[in-house]
Amino acid sequence: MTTTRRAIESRLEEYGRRARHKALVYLDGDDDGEYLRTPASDYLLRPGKALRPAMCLAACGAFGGDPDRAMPTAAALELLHTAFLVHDDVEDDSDLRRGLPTLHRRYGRAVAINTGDGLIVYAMAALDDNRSLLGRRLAARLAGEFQFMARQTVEGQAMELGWQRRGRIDLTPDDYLDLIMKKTCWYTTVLPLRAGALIAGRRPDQLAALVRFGFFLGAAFQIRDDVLNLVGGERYGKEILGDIREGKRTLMLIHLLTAASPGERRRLQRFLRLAPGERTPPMVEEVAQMMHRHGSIAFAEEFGRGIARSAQVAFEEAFGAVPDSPEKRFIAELVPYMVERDR
Amino acid sequence: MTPADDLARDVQMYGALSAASVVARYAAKVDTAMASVTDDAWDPTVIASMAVFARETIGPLFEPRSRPERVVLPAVIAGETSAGSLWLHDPGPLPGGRLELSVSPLVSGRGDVIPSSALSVSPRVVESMAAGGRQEVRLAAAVPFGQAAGWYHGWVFLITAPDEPVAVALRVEEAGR
Repeated sequence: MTTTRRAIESRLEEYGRRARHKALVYLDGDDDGEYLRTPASDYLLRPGKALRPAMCLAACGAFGGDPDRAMPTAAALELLHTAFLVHDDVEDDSDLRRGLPTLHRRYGRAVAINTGDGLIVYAMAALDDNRSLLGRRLAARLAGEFQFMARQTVEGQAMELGWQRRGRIDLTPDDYLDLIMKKTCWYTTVLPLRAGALIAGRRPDQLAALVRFGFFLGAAFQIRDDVLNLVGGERYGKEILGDIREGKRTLMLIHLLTAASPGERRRLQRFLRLAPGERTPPMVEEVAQMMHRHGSIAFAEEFGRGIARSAQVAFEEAFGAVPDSPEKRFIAELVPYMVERDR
Repeated sequence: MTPADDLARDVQMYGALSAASVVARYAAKVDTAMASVTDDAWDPTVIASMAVFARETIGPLFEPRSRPERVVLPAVIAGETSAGSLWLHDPGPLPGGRLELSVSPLVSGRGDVIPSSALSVSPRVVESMAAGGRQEVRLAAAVPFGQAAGWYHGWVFLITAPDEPVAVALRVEEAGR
């Protein structure tokens, strides 16, 4: 691992530790803890990347604000992200999350779904703290930003599930980018950056550049995530080839549907018409081999690199006029990290 | 540069252009949504209401999704010409008094290219448009003989509005199908 990558991961861990500590405070309640707090804290106590709170706290610092004032917002992001993960794992019937069994494997589907709901309520409580900390006006603005983000995320998730349910195979890379803008980027990068900037005192009319930077960064992140699902090593922590088994319309699958021979395309279509439980490991492996053979993974990596280049340009647009600081350097270094990370 | 470098560069450019198109739409969308967030219109206690949260987040799932501006030309086989229209709607005062158009090469997922020289837009220059009016622009692609089958993608650029390209897609089918 390079020194820069180690430094970024160490910084992510520090931001994550602070945000998770704050998030766990919101789990305190009147119940005895066993039925809700214990499963709700499960994922929070597993080491994740903590990218979302890190982006929020770093953006706040880079724009000259006090990151402590962004802490409830960072905690809300981590809680909401955790809720999405719990529900995603149920929807995808995934086995592993951060190297350990998923919540529904550990506690059952009913507890997992209720825990996800609970985490959303905790996130709203964290956001509500902004009223006393930041004032009514800014708290209202942040609540609006969260609501817009939540809409995008659930619409994106619905789109992905709909594509799978309807067996869509006529998708293009543009459709994929549209999906990940909604499903991933808004809550992973765009909102955290905008929220951090607002808390630091940036005016709303200064936020457009952060949408561009956030999307390019988030798209590079998601494409790398999809590639790692095919080629990830022992640090990856999720089920390798799980995306193929679930029939996810990744950039690699979209490319393969175009590049495959007519015979291979027919086999792929038959594979995608099966329910996830009917897709056997040899079938999944065959699709992965086709992706290797037809250059679908290399295509996705180059496509992602092009977007990462745009992110570097957009970073200058968003942060160019801001004085140098460790937070600004951290955000700048996230761009190459997103394309090269191995977990 | 080797052919592999060329291909990698083209795919990177494809990614960058596609992403630029998506983000332009969403930047406008969030500005519109946030314009309604004012002190008077928003009380933060709303976030404590599960009912409001559910209505606002789940409701849009049942609304039709708007499609991006995109032109899909009729599928053809190599050696044939495909043509279609895109419509420019009154963009307000034209920058420099006119609107110029150009079209990028069309690139497939495998890196095959239909060059700009095989593509045409007509008219290339729009000198004026009536307020509230619209202008048809014809787009034609003469697919060279021997062109590989597959989906090809590219852009029509409004030179005076470079951040609003229009995506173009064309499927070249295998001969004999």
